[in-house]
Amino acid sequence: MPSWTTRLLAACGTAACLLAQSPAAQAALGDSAQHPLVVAFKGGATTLDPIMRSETTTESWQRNIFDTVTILSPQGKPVPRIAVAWKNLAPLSWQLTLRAGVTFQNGMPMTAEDVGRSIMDAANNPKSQMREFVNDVTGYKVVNPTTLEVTFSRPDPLFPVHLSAIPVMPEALIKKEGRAAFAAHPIGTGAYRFVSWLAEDHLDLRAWKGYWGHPVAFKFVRLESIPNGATRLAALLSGQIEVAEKINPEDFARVKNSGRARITSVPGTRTMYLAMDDWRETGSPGMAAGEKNPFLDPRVRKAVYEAIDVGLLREKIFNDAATVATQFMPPLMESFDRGLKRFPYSLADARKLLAAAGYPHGFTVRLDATNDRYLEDSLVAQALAGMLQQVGIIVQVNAIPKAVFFPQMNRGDFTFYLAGWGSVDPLSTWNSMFHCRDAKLGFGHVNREHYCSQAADALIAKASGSFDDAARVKLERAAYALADRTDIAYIPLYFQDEIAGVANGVVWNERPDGLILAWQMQRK
Amino acid sequence: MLRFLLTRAWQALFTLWVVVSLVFLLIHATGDPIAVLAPEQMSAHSRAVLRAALGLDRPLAVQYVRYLAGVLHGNLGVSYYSGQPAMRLILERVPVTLELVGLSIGVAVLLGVPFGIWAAVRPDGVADRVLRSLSVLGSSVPTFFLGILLIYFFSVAFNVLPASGAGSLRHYIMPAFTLAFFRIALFTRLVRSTLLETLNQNHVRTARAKGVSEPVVILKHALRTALLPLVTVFGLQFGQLFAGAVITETIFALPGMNRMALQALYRLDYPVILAYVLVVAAMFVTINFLVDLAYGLLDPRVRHHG
Repeated sequence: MPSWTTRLLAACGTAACLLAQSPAAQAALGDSAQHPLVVAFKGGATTLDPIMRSETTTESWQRNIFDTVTILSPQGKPVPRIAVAWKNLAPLSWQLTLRAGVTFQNGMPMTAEDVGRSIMDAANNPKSQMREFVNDVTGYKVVNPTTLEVTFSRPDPLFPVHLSAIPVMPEALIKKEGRAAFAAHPIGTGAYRFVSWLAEDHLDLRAWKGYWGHPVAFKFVRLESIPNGATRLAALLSGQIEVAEKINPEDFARVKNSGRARITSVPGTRTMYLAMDDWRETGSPGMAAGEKNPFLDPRVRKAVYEAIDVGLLREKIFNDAATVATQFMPPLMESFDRGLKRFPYSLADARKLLAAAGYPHGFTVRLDATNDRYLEDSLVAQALAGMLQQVGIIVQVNAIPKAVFFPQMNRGDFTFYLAGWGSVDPLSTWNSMFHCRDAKLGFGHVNREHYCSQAADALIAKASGSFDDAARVKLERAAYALADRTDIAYIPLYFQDEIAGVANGVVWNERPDGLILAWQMQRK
Repeated sequence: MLRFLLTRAWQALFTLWVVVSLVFLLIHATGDPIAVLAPEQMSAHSRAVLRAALGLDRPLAVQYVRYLAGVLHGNLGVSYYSGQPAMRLILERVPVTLELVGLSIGVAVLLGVPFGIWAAVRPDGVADRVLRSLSVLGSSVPTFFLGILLIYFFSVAFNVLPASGAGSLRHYIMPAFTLAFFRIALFTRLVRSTLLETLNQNHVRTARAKGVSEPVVILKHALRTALLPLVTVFGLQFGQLFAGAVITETIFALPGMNRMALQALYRLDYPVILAYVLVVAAMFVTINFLVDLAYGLLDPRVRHHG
């Protein structure tokens, strides 16, 4: 960063003044520790132990130091990182071919044993937040230095996708010095090595010479947290930082008109949806005492669906940086069906459906929402209330902080609420959000609405054992068609876009999985 | 003096115990940290495993006793999120907050006291009127607005100061001024009114009658008496700023302890919240003690009775 004086001198514009510039100011971006490429996030990583937190910002910071076994392409397909090929040997066994010649940043060679034990760590550590990705793994066998065989208790046809969440760690080192010491000075196989950090504030990185992949464009990188949106924007526009994530939609024009930066956005994997109580006859929280729960009637659910103009939300609230959801599954998922359209927005049809269901004058209900979790969440809730009022549904918006919202939501204390779901794959989303509740088998653990379709569950069960991609996708689509179109289990609204502002000198396009990876950035 | 110190230490310990216990019970009544910590995809089984690993499955009484035992051994537990010792997370951020608070209090005193004297010398004079209207402005502009306004002018429009971070003294200019703005106004008004009061007191009139020059009368005789309430307010403000700089820390992305504590509060990261409360409570206890000492130095009557 040029110092205050250099800026002043540069501003005076005379040749003499320009000559006085210090060498640091002339060094190219990212070539020195004084002038690193700076990427600013809203939050910051809480830990550098790569299995302790499944949250996009923390993972973004970590994954400049650590490689995952696979990574998702912009189309959502698993592509090689540490594993270069994978083959399904039997329903309960996958074989991974590992990249040869990979070394950790402390000079130790990476072994198949490291990869196997990293998977087991992610699956078994009580504090691991990556457990769900590799829950069914029972063990591994090192066949030869570059071949690993992984065994399962249940078939996992999407294992290569799940491996995109599993970091490769130097297991011998962790065993020797303990996880706390390892997290304080993390060592991975990634493009950058750890220099220093302050939790949730900044992380300084330096290109690692022994990295197996393409040399990075920027040798010195600083990831930092600038929580306030206006400050983040100001830092980008003043040239203090190069990439700023989560630019507010109302500021897009300012970025575009600045001439210094541009906006990049892509549909993410988070589905914003409306959930409706599908089990209580009466006594639903947020309804008048003794009143019948109107959402048990599928016609009411469809009426609510048709009364919402998602295109208007997209345009007015998100400045087009959101993607209208035609189905619950986001575009990145294998089951996403490009041919599907939403039920058309039609107030007339919605009124007809309500009348047929016995609510010609609508009803009154409370809509619960967060006010600090999703982009513009409380604003969306207000807008939805306005839209539903047009068909006579009086909505009282209750927008509350996430720390209060989520415990209530998990207890099933809501009748009608706005929330988001980040999908990993269609099967796990189904088994968590849509499957008939079964505490013993662990199905439907976040199916707070008690949606239940045994026919669809059977399709998913079949898909879960199918290693034939085309056949599996067909089964998944059939199940989601039942939930989305026939039963309207949830009302999908939009996919939140991943958004960032990028300075002119840098090439970066947002990834659908929301990770911001300095090693994928290029110079312009 | 020794008895005074011992009584003070005993009172301080009692205060800290009450504060910690109250906060412990209050935050455990507010919600479930696992609901915020666990990713939404996490199964019920994994949640139970995580809860047990953090000791949150124990009855509240057991958790409380364990916590107090830990505190007595100097162990305040680790953050649920970072796995780092909670006290270290707070303490490594104390310097930034202290620098910020020290600088802004310094600016406030260095500007506010002279302004106050200047206004008091000629009540209802031009300086007095201008300063009085400025001080109304100073006490009514909200921190977040002033902060954003400064960033807009000095970072975006003129591009002379960094909008965020804490790398050098330059980083502190805008945040310190943002915090100081209200205090300048406060000290100006306070010094003006107390000085006007003391200027009518007997010892000042005696000094004037003896023929002491006016600057000496004001600076030596009147100001010393007038400073007493200022010391109290100074102590209060220091404590308030120390624990209240959260908006400024957030706007300017300063890694201070208040921002950390706010994050911990949002996330129900109990060990960090409790460590923060302990640090703040200890700070208040220390400041109050120092204010008492300063009183003794400034006012002989307190010294002899204390």
